[in-house]
Amino acid sequence: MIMNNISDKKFGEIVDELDKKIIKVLETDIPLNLNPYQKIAEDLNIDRAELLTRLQKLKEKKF
Amino acid sequence: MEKIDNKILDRLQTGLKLEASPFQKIAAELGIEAEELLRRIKKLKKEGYIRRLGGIFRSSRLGYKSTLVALKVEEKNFYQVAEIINQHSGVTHNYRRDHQLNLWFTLSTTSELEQDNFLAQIKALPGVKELYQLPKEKFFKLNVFFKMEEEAGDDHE
Repeated sequence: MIMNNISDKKFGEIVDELDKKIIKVLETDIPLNLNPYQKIAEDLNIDRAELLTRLQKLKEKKF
Repeated sequence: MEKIDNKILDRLQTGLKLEASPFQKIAAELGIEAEELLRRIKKLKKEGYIRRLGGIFRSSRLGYKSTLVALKVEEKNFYQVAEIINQHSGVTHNYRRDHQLNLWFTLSTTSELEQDNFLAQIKALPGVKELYQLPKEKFFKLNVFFKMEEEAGDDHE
């Protein structure tokens, strides 16, 4: 399911706007190249290390 | 599909590491070049073996309201009802079943109100005789792995 309209109720308190953007991108297909996270990070205007840190956190928090 | 493709499908189903070059790592594990791995993944996707390669999230943690829904729909209206249900972006599964409750689907919405409204709309459609909402009570398992590569000993070629 593509979550075009992520609910703000409850969700908004736990993760921020950037996390929501990351989730939306990850819900589509990841780029098939040698550095897929680099491309996603560039599209979101953040650096790759931050993207990976945030994904790791979302995973730890069981999202 | 070649043998290496089966291995690729098995490996991809176990997940991608959150690191700079996840495909590089998988290619190394499978003993092929990363470029070849990517080329084969693209091909498997194009041919329809891979539906999607991306993140999987827990909709309930994201504040979504989910339920399974069972319907009894008259045959003459069946496909029309199924088509209308499919148009909702929160419907992830929709099946015809061999039972008097003949149409079953899962629905995730951003609120209970949206769920109620959508189900009220479905219930009012021509041919819909019964509608049961079956929300999850307890979570036992959610996992799927389609084993593509046979064990060495099982290989009867």
